[in-house]
Amino acid sequence: MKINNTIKENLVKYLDELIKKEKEKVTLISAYDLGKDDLESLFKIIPSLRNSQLAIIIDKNVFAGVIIKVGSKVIDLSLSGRLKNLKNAIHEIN
Amino acid sequence: MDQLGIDIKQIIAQMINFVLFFVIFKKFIAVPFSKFIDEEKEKEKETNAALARVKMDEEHLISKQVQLKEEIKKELEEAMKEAKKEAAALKNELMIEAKNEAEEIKKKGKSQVEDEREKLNQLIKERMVDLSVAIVNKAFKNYLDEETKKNITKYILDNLAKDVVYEN
Repeated sequence: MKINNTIKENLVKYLDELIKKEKEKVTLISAYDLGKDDLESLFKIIPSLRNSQLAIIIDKNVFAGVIIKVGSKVIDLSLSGRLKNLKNAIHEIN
Repeated sequence: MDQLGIDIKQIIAQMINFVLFFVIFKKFIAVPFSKFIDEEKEKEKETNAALARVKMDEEHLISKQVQLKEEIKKELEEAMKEAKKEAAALKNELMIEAKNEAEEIKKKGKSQVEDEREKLNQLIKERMVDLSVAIVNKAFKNYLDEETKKNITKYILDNLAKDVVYEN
Protein backbone atom coordinates (compact mmCIF):
# COMPACT_ATOMS: atom_id res chain seq x y z
CA MET A 1 0.00 0.00 0.00
CA LYS A 2 1.55 3.29 -1.05
CA ILE A 3 1.28 6.15 1.41
CA ASN A 4 1.40 9.76 0.37
CA ASN A 5 4.82 11.27 1.19
CA THR A 6 3.31 14.35 2.77
CA ILE A 7 1.14 12.28 5.06
CA LYS A 8 4.14 10.14 5.93
CA GLU A 9 6.25 13.14 6.86
CA ASN A 10 3.47 14.65 8.94
CA LEU A 11 2.98 11.37 10.79
CA VAL A 12 6.68 11.08 11.56
CA LYS A 13 6.73 14.66 12.82
CA TYR A 14 3.70 14.09 15.01
CA LEU A 15 5.17 10.91 16.51
CA ASP A 16 8.50 12.62 17.15
CA GLU A 17 6.71 15.39 19.00
CA LEU A 18 4.79 12.87 21.10
CA ILE A 19 8.02 11.08 22.01
CA LYS A 20 9.66 14.38 22.91
CA LYS A 21 6.72 15.33 25.13
CA GLU A 22 6.88 11.93 26.80
CA LYS A 23 10.60 12.35 27.41
CA GLU A 24 10.08 15.80 28.88
CA LYS A 25 7.26 14.62 31.13
CA VAL A 26 8.43 14.09 34.71
CA THR A 27 6.41 12.18 37.28
CA LEU A 28 7.16 12.43 41.01
CA ILE A 29 5.71 9.75 43.25
CA SER A 30 5.84 10.38 46.98
CA ALA A 31 3.96 9.46 50.15
CA TYR A 32 2.79 13.01 50.72
CA ASP A 33 2.35 16.23 48.79
CA LEU A 34 5.87 17.59 48.25
CA GLY A 35 6.49 21.09 49.51
CA LYS A 36 8.66 23.87 48.05
CA ASP A 37 11.66 22.88 50.20
CA ASP A 38 11.50 19.31 49.00
CA LEU A 39 11.24 20.40 45.39
CA GLU A 40 14.15 22.79 45.81
CA SER A 41 16.31 20.02 47.21
CA LEU A 42 15.31 17.91 44.23
CA PHE A 43 16.13 20.64 41.73
CA LYS A 44 19.57 21.05 43.35
CA ILE A 45 20.31 17.42 42.61
CA ILE A 46 18.71 17.31 39.14
CA PRO A 47 18.67 20.89 37.79
CA SER A 48 16.98 19.87 34.50
CA LEU A 49 13.80 19.11 36.43
CA ARG A 50 13.28 22.77 37.13
CA ASN A 51 12.13 23.47 33.56
CA SER A 52 10.17 20.26 33.14
CA GLN A 53 6.50 19.61 33.43
CA LEU A 54 6.06 17.94 36.85
CA ALA A 55 3.27 15.59 37.72
CA ILE A 56 3.03 14.63 41.41
CA ILE A 57 1.38 11.35 42.42
CA ILE A 58 0.68 10.46 46.05
CA ASP A 59 1.30 6.79 46.88
CA LYS A 60 1.28 5.66 50.51
CA ASN A 61 3.27 2.53 49.62
CA VAL A 62 6.36 4.68 49.07
CA PHE A 63 6.50 5.47 52.86
CA ALA A 64 9.01 8.26 52.48
CA GLY A 65 11.33 9.75 49.90
CA VAL A 66 10.42 10.14 46.25
CA ILE A 67 10.42 8.20 42.97
CA ILE A 68 11.30 10.23 39.89
CA LYS A 69 10.18 9.01 36.45
CA VAL A 70 11.71 10.84 33.49
CA GLY A 71 10.44 9.31 30.31
CA SER A 72 11.45 5.69 30.58
CA LYS A 73 14.08 6.33 33.23
CA VAL A 74 13.22 5.79 36.90
CA ILE A 75 15.20 7.16 39.83
CA ASP A 76 14.11 5.53 43.07
CA LEU A 77 14.83 7.71 46.12
CA SER A 78 12.08 6.17 48.23
CA LEU A 79 12.25 4.27 51.50
CA SER A 80 10.38 1.32 49.99
CA GLY A 81 12.98 1.20 47.20
CA ARG A 82 15.78 1.15 49.78
CA LEU A 83 14.05 -1.67 51.58
CA LYS A 84 13.75 -3.62 48.33
CA ASN A 85 17.45 -3.10 47.62
CA LEU A 86 18.30 -4.31 51.10
CA LYS A 87 16.17 -7.41 50.61
CA ASN A 88 17.83 -8.18 47.27
CA ALA A 89 21.28 -7.60 48.74
CA ILE A 90 20.57 -10.04 51.58
CA HIS A 91 19.26 -12.63 49.08
CA GLU A 92 22.40 -12.24 47.01
CA ILE A 93 24.59 -12.75 50.05
CA ASN A 94 22.69 -15.94 50.90
CA MET B 1 16.41 -181.89 9.70
CA ASP B 2 12.78 -181.82 8.72
CA GLN B 3 12.14 -183.79 11.85
CA LEU B 4 13.71 -181.11 13.98
CA GLY B 5 11.51 -178.57 12.25
CA ILE B 6 14.42 -176.67 10.71
CA ASP B 7 13.73 -175.65 7.17
CA ILE B 8 17.03 -174.94 5.54
CA LYS B 9 15.41 -173.27 2.57
CA GLN B 10 13.55 -170.98 4.90
CA ILE B 11 16.69 -170.26 6.85
CA ILE B 12 18.57 -169.47 3.68
CA ALA B 13 15.73 -167.33 2.48
CA GLN B 14 15.70 -165.63 5.84
CA MET B 15 19.43 -165.14 5.71
CA ILE B 16 19.22 -163.79 2.17
CA ASN B 17 16.38 -161.58 3.34
CA PHE B 18 18.46 -160.41 6.27
CA VAL B 19 21.46 -159.71 4.06
CA LEU B 20 19.31 -157.88 1.58
CA PHE B 21 17.73 -155.95 4.38
CA PHE B 22 21.14 -155.24 5.83
CA VAL B 23 22.52 -154.05 2.52
CA ILE B 24 19.47 -151.95 1.78
CA PHE B 25 19.44 -150.61 5.33
CA LYS B 26 23.10 -149.76 5.28
CA LYS B 27 22.96 -148.13 1.88
CA PHE B 28 19.68 -146.29 2.01
CA ILE B 29 18.89 -145.80 5.65
CA ALA B 30 21.96 -146.10 7.87
CA VAL B 31 24.21 -143.78 5.88
CA PRO B 32 21.70 -140.91 5.47
CA PHE B 33 20.52 -141.45 8.98
CA SER B 34 24.05 -141.31 10.38
CA LYS B 35 24.67 -138.30 8.14
CA PHE B 36 21.60 -136.73 9.55
CA ILE B 37 22.72 -137.57 13.08
CA ASP B 38 26.14 -136.11 12.34
CA GLU B 39 24.58 -132.99 10.92
CA GLU B 40 22.39 -132.65 13.94
CA LYS B 41 25.42 -133.12 16.15
CA GLU B 42 27.25 -130.47 14.16
CA LYS B 43 24.32 -128.11 14.47
CA GLU B 44 24.12 -128.71 18.16
CA LYS B 45 27.83 -128.01 18.46
CA GLU B 46 27.44 -124.75 16.58
CA THR B 47 24.43 -123.79 18.66
CA ASN B 48 26.35 -124.48 21.82
CA ALA B 49 29.29 -122.50 20.53
CA ALA B 50 26.98 -119.61 19.62
CA LEU B 51 25.33 -119.84 23.01
CA ALA B 52 28.71 -119.80 24.69
CA ARG B 53 29.70 -116.75 22.61
CA VAL B 54 26.45 -115.00 23.48
CA LYS B 55 26.96 -115.78 27.12
CA MET B 56 30.47 -114.38 26.97
CA ASP B 57 29.21 -111.27 25.23
CA GLU B 58 26.52 -110.90 27.84
CA GLU B 59 29.02 -111.15 30.64
CA HIS B 60 31.25 -108.69 28.87
CA LEU B 61 28.38 -106.29 28.43
CA ILE B 62 27.33 -106.61 32.05
CA SER B 63 30.85 -105.87 33.23
CA LYS B 64 30.98 -102.90 30.85
CA GLN B 65 27.64 -101.68 32.17
CA VAL B 66 28.90 -101.85 35.72
CA GLN B 67 32.05 -100.00 34.70
CA LEU B 68 30.04 -97.30 32.94
CA LYS B 69 27.78 -96.91 35.96
CA GLU B 70 30.83 -96.40 38.12
CA GLU B 71 32.23 -93.84 35.70
CA ILE B 72 28.94 -91.97 35.50
CA LYS B 73 28.71 -91.95 39.28
CA LYS B 74 32.23 -90.53 39.54
CA GLU B 75 31.58 -87.87 36.92
CA LEU B 76 28.33 -86.93 38.59
CA GLU B 77 30.07 -86.54 41.93
CA GLU B 78 32.75 -84.39 40.35
CA ALA B 79 30.15 -82.26 38.56
CA MET B 80 28.28 -81.81 41.85
CA LYS B 81 31.50 -80.73 43.54
CA GLU B 82 32.23 -78.22 40.77
CA ALA B 83 28.68 -76.91 40.87
CA LYS B 84 28.87 -76.48 44.64
CA LYS B 85 32.16 -74.61 44.29
CA GLU B 86 30.76 -72.33 41.59
CA ALA B 87 27.59 -71.71 43.60
CA ALA B 88 29.64 -70.74 46.64
CA ALA B 89 31.79 -68.39 44.53
CA LEU B 90 28.69 -66.87 42.91
CA LYS B 91 27.09 -66.43 46.32
CA ASN B 92 30.16 -64.57 47.56
CA GLU B 93 30.23 -62.42 44.46
CA LEU B 94 26.56 -61.54 44.82
CA MET B 95 27.00 -60.74 48.50
CA ILE B 96 29.89 -58.38 47.73
CA GLU B 97 27.92 -56.77 44.91
CA ALA B 98 24.90 -56.34 47.14
CA LYS B 99 27.03 -54.81 49.88
CA ASN B 100 28.60 -52.36 47.45
CA GLU B 101 25.23 -51.41 46.05
CA ALA B 102 23.87 -50.89 49.54
CA GLU B 103 26.82 -48.64 50.33
CA GLU B 104 26.22 -46.66 47.15
CA ILE B 105 22.55 -46.25 47.96
CA LYS B 106 23.44 -45.19 51.48
CA LYS B 107 25.91 -42.61 50.17
CA LYS B 108 23.42 -41.28 47.64
CA GLY B 109 20.76 -41.09 50.31
CA LYS B 110 23.07 -39.18 52.62
CA SER B 111 24.08 -36.71 49.97
CA GLN B 112 20.44 -36.26 48.97
CA VAL B 113 19.53 -35.59 52.58
CA GLU B 114 22.35 -33.07 52.80
CA ASP B 115 21.20 -31.35 49.62
CA GLU B 116 17.63 -31.23 50.86
CA ARG B 117 18.79 -29.86 54.17
CA GLU B 118 20.82 -27.18 52.39
CA LYS B 119 17.86 -26.26 50.19
CA LEU B 120 15.59 -26.11 53.21
CA ASN B 121 18.04 -23.89 55.07
CA GLN B 122 18.24 -21.61 52.08
CA LEU B 123 14.48 -21.49 51.82
CA ILE B 124 14.09 -20.72 55.51
CA LYS B 125 16.64 -17.92 55.24
CA GLU B 126 14.82 -16.45 52.25
CA ARG B 127 11.49 -16.70 54.01
CA MET B 128 12.95 -15.07 57.09
CA VAL B 129 14.24 -12.19 55.02
CA ASP B 130 10.91 -11.81 53.28
CA LEU B 131 9.11 -11.94 56.59
CA SER B 132 11.41 -9.39 58.16
CA VAL B 133 10.96 -7.02 55.24
CA ALA B 134 7.21 -7.51 55.38
CA ILE B 135 7.23 -6.72 59.11
CA VAL B 136 9.28 -3.60 58.47
CA ASN B 137 6.89 -2.58 55.69
CA LYS B 138 3.97 -3.05 58.03
CA ALA B 139 5.71 -1.07 60.74
CA PHE B 140 6.44 1.75 58.32
CA LYS B 141 2.82 1.76 57.18
CA ASN B 142 1.43 1.88 60.70
CA TYR B 143 3.93 3.95 62.63
CA LEU B 144 5.40 6.51 60.29
CA ASP B 145 3.60 9.84 60.76
CA GLU B 146 3.66 12.73 58.30
CA GLU B 147 6.38 14.60 60.16
CA THR B 148 8.70 11.57 60.21
CA LYS B 149 8.03 10.97 56.52
CA LYS B 150 8.99 14.52 55.68
CA ASN B 151 12.14 14.29 57.79
CA ILE B 152 13.15 11.04 56.12
CA THR B 153 12.48 12.50 52.66
CA LYS B 154 14.57 15.54 53.52
CA TYR B 155 17.39 13.33 54.76
CA ILE B 156 17.29 11.18 51.62
CA LEU B 157 17.25 14.17 49.31
CA ASP B 158 20.03 15.94 51.19
CA ASN B 159 22.39 13.03 51.76
CA LEU B 160 21.70 9.92 49.74
CA ALA B 161 20.16 11.18 46.49
CA LYS B 162 23.42 12.38 44.91
CA ASP B 163 24.98 8.90 44.98
CA VAL B 164 21.89 7.24 43.52
CA VAL B 165 21.47 9.84 40.76
CA TYR B 166 25.12 9.68 39.71
CA GLU B 167 24.97 5.89 39.68
CA ASN B 168 21.95 5.97 37.39
